[in-house]
Amino acid sequence: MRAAKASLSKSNGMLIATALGSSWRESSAPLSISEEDLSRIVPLLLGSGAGALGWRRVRCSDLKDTEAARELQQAYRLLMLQAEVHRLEIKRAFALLRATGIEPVLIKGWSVARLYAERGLRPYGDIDLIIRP
Amino acid sequence: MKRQDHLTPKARKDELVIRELSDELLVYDLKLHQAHCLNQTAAAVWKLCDGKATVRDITNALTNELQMPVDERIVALALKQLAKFHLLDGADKLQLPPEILRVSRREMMRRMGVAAAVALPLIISISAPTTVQAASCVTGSCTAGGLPCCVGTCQSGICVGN
Repeated sequence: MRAAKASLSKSNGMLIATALGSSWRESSAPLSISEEDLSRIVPLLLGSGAGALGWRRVRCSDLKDTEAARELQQAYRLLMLQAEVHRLEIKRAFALLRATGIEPVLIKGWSVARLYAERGLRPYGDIDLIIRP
Repeated sequence: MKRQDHLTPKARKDELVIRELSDELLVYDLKLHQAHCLNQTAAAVWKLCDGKATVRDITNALTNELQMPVDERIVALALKQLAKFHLLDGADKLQLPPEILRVSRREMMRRMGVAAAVALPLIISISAPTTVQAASCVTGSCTAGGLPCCVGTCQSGICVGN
């Protein structure tokens, strides 16, 4: 039982849960896992779009200067920029629609993303608008 | 260093998306599809490039802003990098004087010491592995049972039709 628990505590799923716990909140505690464990889960965090959230936990920890942390930081920067690009695209789309008398409502990706502590923490690939038929 | 009073660099503004973070400035170049990260010194120099200020003016303004003595070579190093990353107007044609082109980060670090090197301007390119992003539909390639096509239907792994 003890062996099984130890193995579970080192599983990727548990490590990711530890790494991302409260990362979306305004302030989150520094991450305390080993550098080896972080290196193991970084590809999974990046691949699932959670790199920026991972960086928020790592940046206040002793791991912040490691190679694995730098990868998360790059993802964070890129997603912050992507969010700004999306914001400008949304602004343009709204201006065009309103110019023709259509009042759109923005839903899903953007509206969920704005609930996070920083724009860009929750990546989204498209802009969902609904309009009156 | 020879005074560069004739040089009045201007920051490029068009087709750039800028996001300011607490300790760095992120820039996305919509024309070249490149992303860059400017540290505080590089960002400060870039913001001071209004097309009117000379290297000397920028150095003085930077001294005030950072509240520490700033060498003209720091500004020169920043300009060299800003030009390299196409963040100055007419960067392709911008003729930076040899005095500026000769300034290197390594040399500055040797002169200033590692501790003071944090004040050196630095611009890095941002690249990251492809991430999965939440989306309601796909364009181009598609998979059976996966996300629906934004336009048309999924046939043999490709969205076709309108």
